[in-house]
Amino acid sequence: MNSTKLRRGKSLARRRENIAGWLFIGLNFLGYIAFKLAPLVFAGVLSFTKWNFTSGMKNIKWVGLKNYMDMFKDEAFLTSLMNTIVYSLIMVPVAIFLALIFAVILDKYVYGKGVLRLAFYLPYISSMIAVSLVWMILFLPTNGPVNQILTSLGVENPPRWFNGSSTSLLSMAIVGVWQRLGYNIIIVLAGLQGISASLYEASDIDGANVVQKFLYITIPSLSSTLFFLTMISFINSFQVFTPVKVITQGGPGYSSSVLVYYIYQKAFQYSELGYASALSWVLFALVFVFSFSRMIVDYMGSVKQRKGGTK
Amino acid sequence: MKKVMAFLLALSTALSLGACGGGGGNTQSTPADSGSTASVESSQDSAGGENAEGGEKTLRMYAWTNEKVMPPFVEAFNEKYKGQYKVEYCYIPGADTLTINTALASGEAIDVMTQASAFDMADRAYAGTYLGLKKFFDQEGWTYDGVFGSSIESIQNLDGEYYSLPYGKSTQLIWYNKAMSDAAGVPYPEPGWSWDDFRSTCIAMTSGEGSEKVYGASIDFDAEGDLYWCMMAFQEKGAFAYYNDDFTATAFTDDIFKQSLRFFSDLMLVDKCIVPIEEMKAFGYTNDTQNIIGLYNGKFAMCFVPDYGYQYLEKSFGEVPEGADIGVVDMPTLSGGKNVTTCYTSTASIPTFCTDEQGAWELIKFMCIENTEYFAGIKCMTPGIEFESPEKAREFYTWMFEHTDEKVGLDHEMALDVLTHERQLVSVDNTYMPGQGKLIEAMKAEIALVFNGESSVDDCLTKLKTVSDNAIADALKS
Repeated sequence: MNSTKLRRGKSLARRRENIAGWLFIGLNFLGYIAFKLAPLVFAGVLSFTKWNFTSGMKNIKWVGLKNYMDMFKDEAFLTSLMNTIVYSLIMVPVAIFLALIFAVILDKYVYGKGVLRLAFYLPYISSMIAVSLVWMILFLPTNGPVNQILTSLGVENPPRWFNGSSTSLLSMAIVGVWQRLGYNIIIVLAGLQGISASLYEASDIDGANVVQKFLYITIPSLSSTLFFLTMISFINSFQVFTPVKVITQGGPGYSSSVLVYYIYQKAFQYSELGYASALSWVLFALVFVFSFSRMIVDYMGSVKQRKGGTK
Repeated sequence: MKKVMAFLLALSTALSLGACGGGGGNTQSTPADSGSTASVESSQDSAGGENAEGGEKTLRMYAWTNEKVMPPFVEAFNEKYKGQYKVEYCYIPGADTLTINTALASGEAIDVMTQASAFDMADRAYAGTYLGLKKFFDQEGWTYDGVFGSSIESIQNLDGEYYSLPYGKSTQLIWYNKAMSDAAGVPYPEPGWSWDDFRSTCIAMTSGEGSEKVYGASIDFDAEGDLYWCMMAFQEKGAFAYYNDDFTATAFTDDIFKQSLRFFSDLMLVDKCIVPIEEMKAFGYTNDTQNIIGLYNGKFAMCFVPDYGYQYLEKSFGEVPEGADIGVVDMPTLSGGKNVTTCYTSTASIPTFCTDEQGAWELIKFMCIENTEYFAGIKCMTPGIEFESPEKAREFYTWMFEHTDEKVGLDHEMALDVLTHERQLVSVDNTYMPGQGKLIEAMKAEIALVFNGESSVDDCLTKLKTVSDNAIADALKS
């Protein structure tokens, strides 16, 4: 009898606890539905339509898969897609690799860590608009400081940076790396704090040198940190927009046009909401496929590691 | 206790969220609320509703003009329509497509909306956002070309209907620094000059090297609205210059387009006497204000800026240097001796959801036709209407100089003289919609490559024609 009462009391308490919990996440969930999920679904529906949003909802015209089919004939879209991938493939590895080097140096080999950390982090919290304008001046092909230095060093034809078709995307990636580096360093530094000193002490006893310690202790120990950074950096780099809008507007030609900028142009300059929504879904799919495949690779790696450990 | 706290916390969050989103029916936040005009207590009461005092209907007009210069307009309209209508000016932060489209889609009561892009206007008109205005012209006994001229009429005519009235036409002129000409011993440009004269003046005015280099002129080839790169083609062919006769293809490979693009690209890349494209962007000369500031600070001797350029010769845009002496001259032409220039319009339209059609018509008639000085005038713009006579034009510009801030360093007599010249105006606006988005996009991309030295004139125009023709064909097919 007592145990039944106790069970009933526990169940009631759990139910009340659940209700309280639901009340908390319920509000957040409502916000998520209203501001994230519903627009996402709406964009999905819009991607099968032709719509100018000033004309009102009644003028949405169903076009089926036309928007999706059109994009593969759209040279500007294909160039923007390729540029986005190239930008990410340059920006992400370079920013992570440099962050790793700088973080290790900052962690062990320099004085004034706090000041240096702040110095590296400043670009990340600076306004991208202001930063873009500064980089525009620095990279001026004719009288910019960077090219003046290169010329004084004997470079006869210095690059045209943002103003050259072959260098504009690379220049954009340089700005991206410069801005992202500080954030990456902070994350890697946090990861470095978590590596047990005993591992390095043991390796000292085994006679490992600095490079061996870095390759066989630091990097493997940072694998989850690096995985997080890779994911976040790729997702961010797929969404690059501000420097493109401010500095090059996608030019010269389409050489620095990226997916988000192209979507912005289609949606808000040419009022092609349906087509822009279809492009947004392609961007979403791209990020999703990348994130998912990276997770699978990571999962398989950890399974393999566990199996190896069992053996 | 914990659960009670949890419930109270959740409830208070819900209530505060509700409070944030509530009140839609009674109190609407409008651009006017954050601007200088009086806040609106109730959109229903204010917009189109009858005011308790005097029975006047309130009309809402949306534009990006600085609120500080609007009171004379508002007072003059309210005085003229006393007892019938009163206008409430609502400031929007700019003429961007997105800003205006968002305002139109927001559900706000809007009686008159302004815009700077003919493409946007046509896009909105075809989307059914704007009211046809032909019935009002019939009611007044006017014709559109009779009021605004044939070039503008041809642009504004969308399948026999008109959806906007131009309140201003930005007429392309060349502004020059007289002090620099004096110092270099180069004579001032004269009306009726030719493009060859322009080139030799540019070369003569170019001096210095590196960051100290002073250029002959600054011309923004990036702006899609100005279309300076093909100015010669518009001067020779008239409105819709880059289409064939039946609008089924473009004419970008015609000799006149090649001639025009080659002329300007040679100025930049061969003669190196106009500001290079990268410096245009980096120093903000793509913006009219910065262009005039660069001119009076001696960075270049001439610049292409529409007729409203002199409004930037004012202290609020930066300190005008002592002794600044700015002149203005008409555009050159191919063989000289003529006065043909291009223009683009800024327009006002009535949304289909306006609160009072007749009232909205009276308002745009006031601003665009009958009392242009109060809107175009205070913005230092040439009104969209055709002046009845040179005397009327002089009267307008004299009023304008008297009623706007002092223009430091401007040769007022010369400006008055040039502004009132008789000239043939060709509109570069484009309201022919099939494939136009793609065409504009391709134009921006391809033309920049020529000025960057990465593409030849022939290759660029051939590609531009191919892309544009395909876009038109696809659009017409679908």
